[in-house]
Amino acid sequence: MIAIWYGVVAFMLIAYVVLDGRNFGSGMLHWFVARTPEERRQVIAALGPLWSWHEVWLVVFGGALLAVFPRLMASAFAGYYLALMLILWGLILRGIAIEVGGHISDPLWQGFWDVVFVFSSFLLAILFGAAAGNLARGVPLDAQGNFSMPFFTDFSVRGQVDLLDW
Amino acid sequence: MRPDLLGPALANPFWWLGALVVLGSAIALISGLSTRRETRAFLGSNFLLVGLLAAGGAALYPVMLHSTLAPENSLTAHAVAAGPRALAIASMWWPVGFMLAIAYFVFISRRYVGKVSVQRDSQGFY
Repeated sequence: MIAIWYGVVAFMLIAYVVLDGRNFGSGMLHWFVARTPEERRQVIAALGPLWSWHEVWLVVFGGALLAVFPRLMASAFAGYYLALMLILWGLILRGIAIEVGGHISDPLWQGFWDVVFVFSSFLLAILFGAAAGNLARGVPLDAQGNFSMPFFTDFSVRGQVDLLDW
Repeated sequence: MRPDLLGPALANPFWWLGALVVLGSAIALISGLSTRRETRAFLGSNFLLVGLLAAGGAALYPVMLHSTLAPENSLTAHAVAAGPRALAIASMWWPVGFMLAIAYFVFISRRYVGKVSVQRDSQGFY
């Protein structure tokens, strides 16, 4: 039963990464593939109706993780608190940039939200990758299941290795 | 990299399945890009991600969060799972939610199928 639920939770996470990964990529490449305001509107129109649908899978993943593996969620969310707050703000800002960026036909307005869109997409991709890396590497969990790590140190593999370090 | 990752991975058949998916999708991606077949490249890139994550998930099981301080502090799937009653109740509500997500998926796919059109897909705002 537990192995089956592990597979179910993993399936939902994979669905989210594949679907929203497309949005991350669109955001990160936004400035490079779209040179004119019209092209940038086209990139955003390609994912505008879809981004919230993709994030549904993140919501169901989080809900299932809470219901099925509550102690893991408690340990991980407490230890990765800063990273998770940054992920939350990245998701919020990315959504706002997509939804309100085209509300006003002003170069400054649209340019600002294009910057926010690109920056938040990079931030999310880096943080989700760091989360995967930390799963593979391990974290300093104590006997109570708690851990606390600085966000980064010197990005090297020697000494104290923290959240964003190699 | 945690030391207990590779051994259990090689012993897990789902890891080998994930590795096979990675290999096949990489071939599809490269051939799709070289022959300019968008659908093949698109599916190849998607399944490359699926295979990588599936292999990673299979390698992690059952130690979901490894402790670098002491291996006995690591969180395993069996140790962090909810009780049997909670899992049984989850077995009832999860399929309902999953069907709703699938229905939403089908609706959105049909509604926005085809090439992007700023005029059609902008909803007035993009």
